Amino acid sequence: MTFTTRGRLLACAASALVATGASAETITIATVNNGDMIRMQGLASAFTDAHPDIELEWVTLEENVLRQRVTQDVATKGGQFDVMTIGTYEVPIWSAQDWLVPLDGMPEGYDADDILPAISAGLTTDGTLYAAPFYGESSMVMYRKDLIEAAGLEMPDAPTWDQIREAAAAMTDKDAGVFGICLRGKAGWGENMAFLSAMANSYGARWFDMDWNAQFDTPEWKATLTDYLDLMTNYGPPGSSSNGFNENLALFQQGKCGMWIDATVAASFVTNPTDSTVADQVGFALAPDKGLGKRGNWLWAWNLAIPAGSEKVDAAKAFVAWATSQDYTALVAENEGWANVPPGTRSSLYENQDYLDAAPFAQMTLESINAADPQNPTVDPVPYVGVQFVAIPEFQGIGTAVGQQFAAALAGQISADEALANAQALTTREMKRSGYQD
Amino acid sequence: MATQHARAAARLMISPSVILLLAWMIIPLGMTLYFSTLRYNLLMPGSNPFVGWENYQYFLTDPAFMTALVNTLLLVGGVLIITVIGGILLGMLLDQPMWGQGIVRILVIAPFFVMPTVSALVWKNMFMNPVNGLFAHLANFLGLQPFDFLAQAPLLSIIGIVSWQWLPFATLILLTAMQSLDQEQLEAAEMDGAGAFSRFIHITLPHLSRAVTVVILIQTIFLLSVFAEILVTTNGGPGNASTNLTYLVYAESLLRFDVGTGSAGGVVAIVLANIVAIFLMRMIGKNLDT
Repeated sequence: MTFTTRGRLLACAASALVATGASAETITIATVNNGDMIRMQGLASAFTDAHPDIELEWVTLEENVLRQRVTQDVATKGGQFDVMTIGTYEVPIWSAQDWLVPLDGMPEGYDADDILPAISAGLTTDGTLYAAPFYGESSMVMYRKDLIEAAGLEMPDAPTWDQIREAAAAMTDKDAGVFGICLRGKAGWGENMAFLSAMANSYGARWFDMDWNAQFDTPEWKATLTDYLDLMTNYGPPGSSSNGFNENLALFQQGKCGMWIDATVAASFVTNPTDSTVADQVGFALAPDKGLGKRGNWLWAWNLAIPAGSEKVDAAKAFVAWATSQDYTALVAENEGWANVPPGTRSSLYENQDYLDAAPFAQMTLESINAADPQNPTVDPVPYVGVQFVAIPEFQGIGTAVGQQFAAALAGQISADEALANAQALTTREMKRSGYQD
Repeated sequence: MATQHARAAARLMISPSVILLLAWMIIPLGMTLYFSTLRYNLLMPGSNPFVGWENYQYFLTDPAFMTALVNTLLLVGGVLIITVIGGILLGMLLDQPMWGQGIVRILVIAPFFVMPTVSALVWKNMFMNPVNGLFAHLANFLGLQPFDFLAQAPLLSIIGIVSWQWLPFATLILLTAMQSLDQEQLEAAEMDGAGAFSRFIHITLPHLSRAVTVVILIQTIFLLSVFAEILVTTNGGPGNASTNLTYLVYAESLLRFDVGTGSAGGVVAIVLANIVAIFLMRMIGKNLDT
């Protein structure tokens, strides 16, 4: 019986190959080596079964390398890739330069209205969607319920920075190897500057004023950096100036951190009992505020986009639509369980009771994403789009250089004032050179 | 006449390979020189106007440039001192007859075969990490505060990692040189009443001078372009504390996608490397003549 079934299947497959062999199109997809993307590759046979005339070729790279490769390809119109995985930072810049194919006229059944407004706002230029979100994230506070209880405190759902400081002080027990708070310290525009820019927003600081003047000489930035350094030197782990997302994740999973303010996607890792020693003790809260009406949380999404150099736009569109659809979410849930579906892109996911039951962090993730506004990230108006970044091409360089200064201050090599003065000088220099000011 | 014809024919015959080799060298260099005079950023499409020396001016006045230059020299100098002195000492130890000599020699040479990225990762995560590292555990065991190597002494840590990698190379070359030393000469000196120290200063060391020159020249070439260790461990930081010229060029061209300034930085690095090479040749290259 099984033999005949298999034989028939083989025959079917063979005839399908013969029938479509001549017209099969191969699209090349560049993607990042995050767990969700790897999972997508595993499930891609569902797509190729439904589209026998399309073949997929994967180029999976680490985040920094991916960014270099796709940027070079898209900037030189290289045409190596038909689908690219890009971040929220790239979309507004690249779409303004006509490097991306607009995602209108998506295949039937693609529900673009279901995408969370905060996410789609970051991917839309002049009313047109230029990239489809695969998963989205904000940042939030993850904390140890047992430690905060032992300290005799309670973590509110929407804490202030003062409460965070108090909790960090109470939970720190350096002799036992427990540090009150772990934050990003590794230099980079997507590392420590993601956290610090978001924190600065809640302190009322901003990168540039409306005339593109750098703002590191303001009291708001000084307050941000001073409080950050104070938190980290008193209650943070040693070596924090080289800690990024992964280092902090490992520390938190080993039970060495009382609190960790970072990406919402980390929630599924720290509550996963096979990886985390503190899985059943993790609580979640919104990112802290300073009473100024803005919270210190960021907004990010990994998106699929089609570069303007692609010659197989229709096939690429079909794939993008499949990978970012509700059907794909359902497919993951069926194969891997609801807790593993890509989060943070669609309203319908957060109305799904199965998901809410499987993911204790779902509600806090949704609230955090909704609390971010890329158009008005901070208290005062700004000329740029982006919460924890500034969507201009120069930002990668400037953000990393400023991040290096702040990492040096965290390592104790320079003072907070020196770091801010250096940041101000180098940002002003680059902006002058790029012609933002006369 | 015939010989002249033959010579001309010979020149004609080898010209394809010579031209190919020349192009192999000239074209990339020419492209770099050309790009270094353009305002060319990958992220900002449009015309790439000729701007003359502007890129050089920006690269040379970059606040990080002087730090990077000093760091490059410190890195090369530090590793050279450690590997040459350490190589001589280790070479003398390994030169002694002992039990299990073959295995010991292989173990000493082993670090040289570890890829730079891997050794940097191992040092960063398993040894120098101030929470989980071996050194932190040792410090805790002795009741001391763990030292945060990569944040407090980044350049020194990198010098340590690179030295660990290159020490076997120096040891290998110097050990070979030592083994070619005439034992009878040493015995004669000993009979004449020369102590171990003066034997080393007056016989062994002069004998090693050529080998030391080779070690210094070869290592300098490779050490000027140390990159993987920095990228993996400190990313040039904190601040610019461990940025060398190679890393600065990388940051310009691949983190900021500024092809113009990156090329200018590359040209500056070539010029500086040549200056260092000329000085080295002048100072110690004479050793090779005699």
